[in-house]
Order: sequence, then C-alpha cells, then structure tokens
Amino acid sequence: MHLHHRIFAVALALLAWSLPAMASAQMTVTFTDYNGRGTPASGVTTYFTDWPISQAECTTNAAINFQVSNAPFVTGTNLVWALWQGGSTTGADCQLPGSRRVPGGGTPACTLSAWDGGTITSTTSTLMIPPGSLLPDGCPENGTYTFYLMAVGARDDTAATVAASHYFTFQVRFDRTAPAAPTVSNAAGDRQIQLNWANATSDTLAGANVYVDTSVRCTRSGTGDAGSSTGDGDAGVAGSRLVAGQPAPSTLRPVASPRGTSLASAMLDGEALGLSLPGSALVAVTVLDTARNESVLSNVACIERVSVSGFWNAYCAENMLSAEECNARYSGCTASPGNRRFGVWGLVGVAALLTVVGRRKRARGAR
Amino acid sequence: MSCSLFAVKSLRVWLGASALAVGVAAPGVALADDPEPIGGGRSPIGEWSSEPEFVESPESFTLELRAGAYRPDLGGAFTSTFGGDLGPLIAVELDYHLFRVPYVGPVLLGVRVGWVEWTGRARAEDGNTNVGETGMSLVPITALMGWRIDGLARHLHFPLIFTPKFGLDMGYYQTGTSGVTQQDGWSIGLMYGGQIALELDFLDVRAARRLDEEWGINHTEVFFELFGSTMGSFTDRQIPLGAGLAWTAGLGFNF
Repeated sequence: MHLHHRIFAVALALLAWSLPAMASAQMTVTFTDYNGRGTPASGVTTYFTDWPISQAECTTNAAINFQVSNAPFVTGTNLVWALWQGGSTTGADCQLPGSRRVPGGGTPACTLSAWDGGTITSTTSTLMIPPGSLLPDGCPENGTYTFYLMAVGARDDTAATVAASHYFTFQVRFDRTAPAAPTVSNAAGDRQIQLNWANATSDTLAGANVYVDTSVRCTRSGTGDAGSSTGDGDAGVAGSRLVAGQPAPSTLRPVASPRGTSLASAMLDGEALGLSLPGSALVAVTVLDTARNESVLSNVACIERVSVSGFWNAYCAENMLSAEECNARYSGCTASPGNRRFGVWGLVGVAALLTVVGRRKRARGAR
Repeated sequence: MSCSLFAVKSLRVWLGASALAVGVAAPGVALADDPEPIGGGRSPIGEWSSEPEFVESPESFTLELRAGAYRPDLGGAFTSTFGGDLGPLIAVELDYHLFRVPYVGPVLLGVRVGWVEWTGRARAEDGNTNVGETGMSLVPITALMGWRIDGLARHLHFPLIFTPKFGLDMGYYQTGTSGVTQQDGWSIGLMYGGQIALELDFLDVRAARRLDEEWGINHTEVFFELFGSTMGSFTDRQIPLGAGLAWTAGLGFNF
C-alpha cells in the first residue's frame, strides 16, 4: 500500500469515527437572565412558563438571549436557523415532515415564526429573539405556545425530517392580564410604619410597588386637607397623583418594591419619606404577577408619622422622670466613645493575660 | 527395623490424620492458598505488642457554650412592654484553671460574654399598638472566679461536677423604639451562681480519649447553671439590669 493510500485510509477511519459522535451530540440551549427573572435554575424549557412574558415586555420587545451549544455546524454545509411554533400544546412534532406549513399553507399545526436567525457558522451561537417575533402575528393573546428552534437546510422547508440533534423545543407563556389591585389599610408609626394590604387576586404574585404622595396631607380618621376623605376604599384626594383604579403615575417612583409570592405588607420609614413629625402622606399599592404585569393602583390610604413610645418612655414615666431628666440621669455612665474603647480593650487585655498565663504554665509543664 | 518402619508409618498416619483434623476444624487457617494474614503471618497478639498507656494532655481551660433565659428586674415598665419575653440569652465563657486544689478541683479565672434581646410593640399616643416595635438588647460581660469541684469525677469516677462562681458583671444595653435608639449605656454589678455539670466521658471512654489525643480536649460535659446579677443596683445613675435568678444550660469543653 502506498503512503498516500495509508494516509487516506487513516483519514477515512478518523472521519468514520468522528461522524457518529458529531451526529449524536445533542444541541442544548440555555437562557440568560431575562428582565430580572434571574438565571433559570433548572428546566430551561419551562423558564418562560414559570415566568411568563407580559404585554409590556412583548411590546417593548427586548430580545430573549439564547445560548446554543453543540449546534450542528459542519464546514461546507449551509444550515440555517428556523423557528417554528407548534400551537398552544406540546406534541405538535414540528420536526416531522408534513407537520409544518408556511403562512397560508394548509392545516398542519406548526407555523414559521417571524424571526430569521440566518446561517449557522459555529457550534456555539448566541441568538437574540425578540418576544414580539416569536409568532407571525406579533404579541398574542394569553396562552402557552410551544416553539421548535431548528437547524435546517432551508428556513421554510416543510418536507424534511429534522433529526433530534438538530432542534430544541421550549415553551413560552404570554400573560397580558394584570392582577387585581389590593386593598390597603391606613397605617401610622415613626421610623417604622408598617403598611398592610389584602391581595385580591388568585394570580401568583411576584411583588408589589408602594407609591407615596407626600404633597397632600391626610388623617387616618378620614379627612384630607383637600376636603376629600381618604382611607380604605376611597378613590383618592383632590390634587393627588394617586388615583385608585388608575395605573401608577409615571411621575412617582415606588418608595418600596418588596418582592415575594405572598407579600401583604411593607415597612416604611417616616423620616426617609421626608415626613415631618407629626406628618402624613397618601399611599397606594400595586401588585405584580410573575409576568411583571402591574395592577392598577389600590385604594388610596393614609400613613401618618406620629410620636411613638416604647420601653424607654414607659421606664422613665414609671420613675416619674421626663424624657430629658431620664436621659440626663442615665447618661452618667453611658457608652461614650472612650468608654466603648475601654470595654473593647479591656476584653482584649483579659484574653491576652489568659493566653500569657496559659503559655507559661504549659512551658513549666514541658520542663 | 520393622519397628522403626512401623513407627515411620504410624507417624505419617498420625500427621496425615492430624492435618486432616486441623483442616476440617479450621479450614481458614490450614488452607495453603489462604491470603497471608495481617502482620505477615505473626499472631495478632504478638509477644511484643502492648496497649500504650493513655496519658492525659494538660488541662488548663474550660470553654462553655450556653443558652438560657434572662429577665432583668426592671419593674412594671419592662413587664408591660415586653410581656413574658425571656430573651433568650446566648453566651460563651472561657475559664482558665489557675491552680488545682488537691483532691477537690481547680480554681478558675474566666470571662463570659453574652447577648440577649427583648422586643415588644410600640405604642402611639392614641393607644394604637400597630406603630412599630420597641426593643432592648443587653450584652453582659462578666469577669469571674470559680471553683470547679471535679474531685468526684477525677477520683471516684462519679461524673458530676459542681462549680460555684462569683464575679463582676458589666452590661452594655441599648434600647429603642420604631427604629430609633433612645438610650444606651453600661450597668455594673456582681454576678453569683452555681453550676452542675455531667461529664460525658462515661458514655464512650475510648472516644473521650481519642478526643484528647487528637484535639487536646480532656473532657466534655453538659451543664445547667443558676445565677443572679446585681447589675445597676449600686447607683441610681444606672439602669438596674440585674436579675434575681436566671438560668443557662449548654455544652462545656475542658482542654
């Protein structure tokens, strides 16, 4: 056998060995964080069903980032990316011939989406797919849709069977319905004003936004400065930017945005809100579902910053001392910075003494 | 000659029978293809093997991790604000064994640092209690002496240890309401108490010795301590943070 025959035989053997491996490498897709949902912990196929896409996100059309590994790239071939949607249920089997149709092309379940990913040039790819391009008609009604991301010879090929290593399937749920607004109760406090509300929706919630309007004063008993009453179930106060049942005003930023599935309260700081003592402000709450749809504003309630008393006030009163007398009496041996230093250094000194004595004792024992 | 021949035959028969008997009775020992026993074929109880004598490492310190209940005698204001809140008190204590009184036990010099917090509802002028929290926290620091009476455990193998303690108690407190610190300061007094401990060595003597050989921990024990404090009662310029009776329990290590 000539040398070039041997080289050819070895190359052929290597090719034969490598081809099955290339064919069996399964294409995998992961998503990166989309709009604050976090990196999918598991099951990328359910990422957008656990955290649906909202109407606002679909309209804004921020692209979903697909990280593709083991893409079926072979030099000399011209595979392209094609995205097919298989209807609202799984099992459409868009990889099979006869299951796909181009727009206006008969009854098969799978339709070509509006997205065009171009030619595959590497085994790894980053694909940016805007949610508004997932479906031919843009943002759909509420529903769950199954998609097939395929590596195929021609984008609109409806006849070929797509091998399992050449496609990846995932689901996206579109949720255009905002949750119902909660009902907020009046609250009072000083640096800790605990605002409570009752959620009125069966949706799974993801968080809440608390809006405060400090430009209008109110009282928890129900009379606002503008002459309108405030409190549970009230529509609002004249002159306020907070109007019950309306979307959150774009001119107000939420003062608190707690996140969680079973939220029904938030702690506000009267001083941080800029309230005088005593002082008051209007408050309303919106809730967010897992798709980040924000409800309309709740009823407009009143929060008051009031003087509160605790243990120290009670102790001073029990000893018949005013707050000033009480503070003056017990500040004689308080923790001034110097005393604090003394305490810390005292502890260090005791520890050092114990260590030295211990070492000397052990040294004596060793002798 | 025949006699000697008979003798040789008898010997062969006897050896063969003996080998067979040994083979049946103890096949694990006699089989030629057995793996070589551990120790190169020598008896596991060799003529030179012996149990090394256990020598305890020097014992100079006691470390105690403890938790319990502490409630200062602060009068009606404390009760009405914090109700039945007992803390809990969490503390750590390190004692140095100054010297050992023969047959009785070591005299200790130590320091204890702890933390305890009580919380309750704040109150608005109109009586509304849904206006945030009020709380008080205390960091008691104690320099103490004690006498660890472990003679029963050391000499009679009765695993109970009694330790009376006495010392100087210093407490740094902080109190506030609705997120605002209203007052902080120190209160000083005396601490007194008594501890009973159950040494755990008897549960597993080998494990106790191994703990000493590998970590230098001579003894481990569980304990219960009753104590009191007169913090702040020497002067009316300090908050009386002492308690007539409080308790802690925990785990102790001697090393």
